[in-house]
Amino acid sequence: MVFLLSGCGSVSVYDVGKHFDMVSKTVSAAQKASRDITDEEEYYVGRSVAARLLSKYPLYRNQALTEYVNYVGQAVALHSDKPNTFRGYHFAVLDTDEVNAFACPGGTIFITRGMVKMIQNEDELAAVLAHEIAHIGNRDGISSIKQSRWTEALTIIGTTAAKNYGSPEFASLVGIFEGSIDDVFKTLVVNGYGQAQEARADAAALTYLARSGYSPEALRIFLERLASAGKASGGGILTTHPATAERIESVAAAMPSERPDRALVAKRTSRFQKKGI
Amino acid sequence: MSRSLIHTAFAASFVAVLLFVVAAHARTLSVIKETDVIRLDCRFSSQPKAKVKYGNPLEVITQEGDWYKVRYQKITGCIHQSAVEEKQVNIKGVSSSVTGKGYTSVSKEEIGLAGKGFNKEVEEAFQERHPDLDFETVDRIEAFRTSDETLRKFIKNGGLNEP
Repeated sequence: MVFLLSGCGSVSVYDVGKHFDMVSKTVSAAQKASRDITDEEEYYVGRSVAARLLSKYPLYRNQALTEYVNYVGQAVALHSDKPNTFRGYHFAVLDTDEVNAFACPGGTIFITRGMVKMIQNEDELAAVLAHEIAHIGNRDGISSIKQSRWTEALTIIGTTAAKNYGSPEFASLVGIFEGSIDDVFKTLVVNGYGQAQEARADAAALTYLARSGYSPEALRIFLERLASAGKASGGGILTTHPATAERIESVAAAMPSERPDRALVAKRTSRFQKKGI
Repeated sequence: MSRSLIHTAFAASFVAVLLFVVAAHARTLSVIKETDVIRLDCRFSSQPKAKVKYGNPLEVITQEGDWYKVRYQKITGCIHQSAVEEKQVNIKGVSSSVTGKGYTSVSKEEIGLAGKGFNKEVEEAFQERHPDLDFETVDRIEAFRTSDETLRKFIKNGGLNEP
């Protein structure tokens, strides 16, 4: 290095060291600037997406059902590829006849009352939740934030001024945060995920169901019911989670070979029915 | 100086260097969840031994599949890999524990970036712009927690697999 830089005339050995230090600091800063969204940041995006969803759909206030959905969801989430999120998984029911489910980044999962009505047993409920848990683990929601937006955010985050509440930089960061919420919300509610993302979430859901002891077959059965129902109102699941014949075929092809214990499925169906769903 | 004294001094120096090398290579993880627990055995259904918080340093003893066996404040136990990261977590305000317990690897740049990004303050400013959004209900949803014991019973009664 000394040899190469000696051509620059005034660069001494000392200067080389200083220069190298400066370069390595720049590289280090660049590496930091290209970082992914952290679990904590994902959590804050997810909270705001959840708040927006709750302004569109009210919460279904049924304590027994909410508890039950949470236990089923936790039983699956702990067998997922991402059993931990910044503040854990939370499950809630939205009070609407629309048939849908939403995975907010960071771990809050909503299922609509309309969706719950279409579900016929605990294993099907677990299948729907497993699919949504997979979207969170795969970061499908958070990855819908435009790359240019996140790049701009990182530039601002790299400035000292961004830390000062009330500074123009901080205001810009809040604006980018707001735009990020829009990106995720549109994906969840309007556009839906891509087919590849849905296929990946289905495949992961089958694995999580098998690991947790639920019947993976429940996913295929429920998708078939969704497809035959053939309708979903207001940006419903057929828009955001299209139950196409191709998707059902893929799920059937990837079905784990183990067969569930029918007696245990019946036992779980019994406790599902006792919830008065 | 006698020969035995020289030998003793040499041996002491060697041990000191050895200890330094071992300490320098101790693998440290940081908790990236808001809160979590270290468990007796490496599975989620195992008994919790100690609570840990975001940013707490955990010394790795061994790795067993998706789990780490760790030491935290003289307590040993297991924590799942998805709850930790192999880097120093930037803690808002850079508390004395960050600078006072051997966190010399935290650079000035990292300290400068501490607490930045999409955080509580950004969310609060967003809330001010959108007072119509229902964050109270979000808080209520997050406040609901399933207890380990009840979840264990739910899993057992449903013939499900323990995590």
